[in-house]
Amino acid sequence: MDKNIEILVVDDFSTMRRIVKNQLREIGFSNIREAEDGAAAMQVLKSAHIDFVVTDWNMPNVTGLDLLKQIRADERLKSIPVLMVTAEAKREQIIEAAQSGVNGYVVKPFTPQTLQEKIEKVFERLGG
Amino acid sequence: MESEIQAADVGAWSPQEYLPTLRALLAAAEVSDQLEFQNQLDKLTALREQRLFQEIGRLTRQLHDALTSFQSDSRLLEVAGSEFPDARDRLDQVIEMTERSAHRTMDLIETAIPLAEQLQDTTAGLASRWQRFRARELSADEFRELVAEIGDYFTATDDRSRQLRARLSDILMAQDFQDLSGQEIRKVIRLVQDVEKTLLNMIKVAGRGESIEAELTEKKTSEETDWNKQRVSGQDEADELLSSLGF
Repeated sequence: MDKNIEILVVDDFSTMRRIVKNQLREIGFSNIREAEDGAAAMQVLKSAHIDFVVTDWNMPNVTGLDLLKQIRADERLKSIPVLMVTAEAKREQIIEAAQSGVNGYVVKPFTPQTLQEKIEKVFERLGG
Repeated sequence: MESEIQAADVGAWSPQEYLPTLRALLAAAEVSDQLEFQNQLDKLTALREQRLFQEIGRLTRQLHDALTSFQSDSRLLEVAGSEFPDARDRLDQVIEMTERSAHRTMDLIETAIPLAEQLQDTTAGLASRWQRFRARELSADEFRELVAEIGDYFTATDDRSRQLRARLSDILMAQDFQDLSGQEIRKVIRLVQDVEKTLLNMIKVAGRGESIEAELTEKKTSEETDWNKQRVSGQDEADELLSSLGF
């Protein structure tokens, strides 16, 4: 897995962004950008090169699910892998995310191991 | 309270109250006593009317109670006017407080991690040379160097562990938000309970109390079960669901 990829972390809580960022650094990623909701994330995605998106679900304005749908609907962005990291743990939500094209789903609260495992799995599946 | 008792008295009427009049009416009819029959019939009608008036009186009283309690329930005004905004402020404060504490904790941890790493690195470096010393592989010069470094190591370790200890106790202190935010949240919970009670009372006064309460309890229980059924219990169940979807 290339540790130099550009990662975008999307969460409305700065503390959660920081935790995810720290854990990504621990795994070895260092190019990490942040956005506080789906709308801000879309702006970053359109103005900078991003290889991987880690997003929360429940955010004001544009939610993580809407962000996922917007990414999948955009010709230029649609192949970017998206990992959902969220406290939303309803079955129908997981199914909806899967149907909308999510690449991985991590339920909060999570451990660094889980995050690493899921990220590796996402890239494994993309590589294979 | 008074109106409730009266309402209960009025409500508990029995058809048997009509029996004496009915018997007298029947007797008058059997002996064809026209005057007496007319009298008893009037009495019967009066009895019926009395019940009707009592019923109307009960309804009027209930309506009056409902209206006065609606007007005098300034509690609702208070709640909507000042207590709800206040509760919102409190919850905002809770978010701020928890956010501040989380950042403070992470700041401290981020400065503590390098200290621990330095300790680990210096110890590992010394340990490998200590091994060589034990294996008699060190020259006299190297040994003198090692001794000097061990001296430095003691001073540095003392200093770093002091710093680490201070960070840890600051991290401990940064957890005080739990107590403070808990108190604020509790106040908001009390307000919500208050509003719930006031609303239920209003519904009761309006005369639909029991049926609404039963409806609410039933709805709540069924929602709780649904909620449990719909949620996955954690990452393992989420993974299971995802793998069933082809992930």
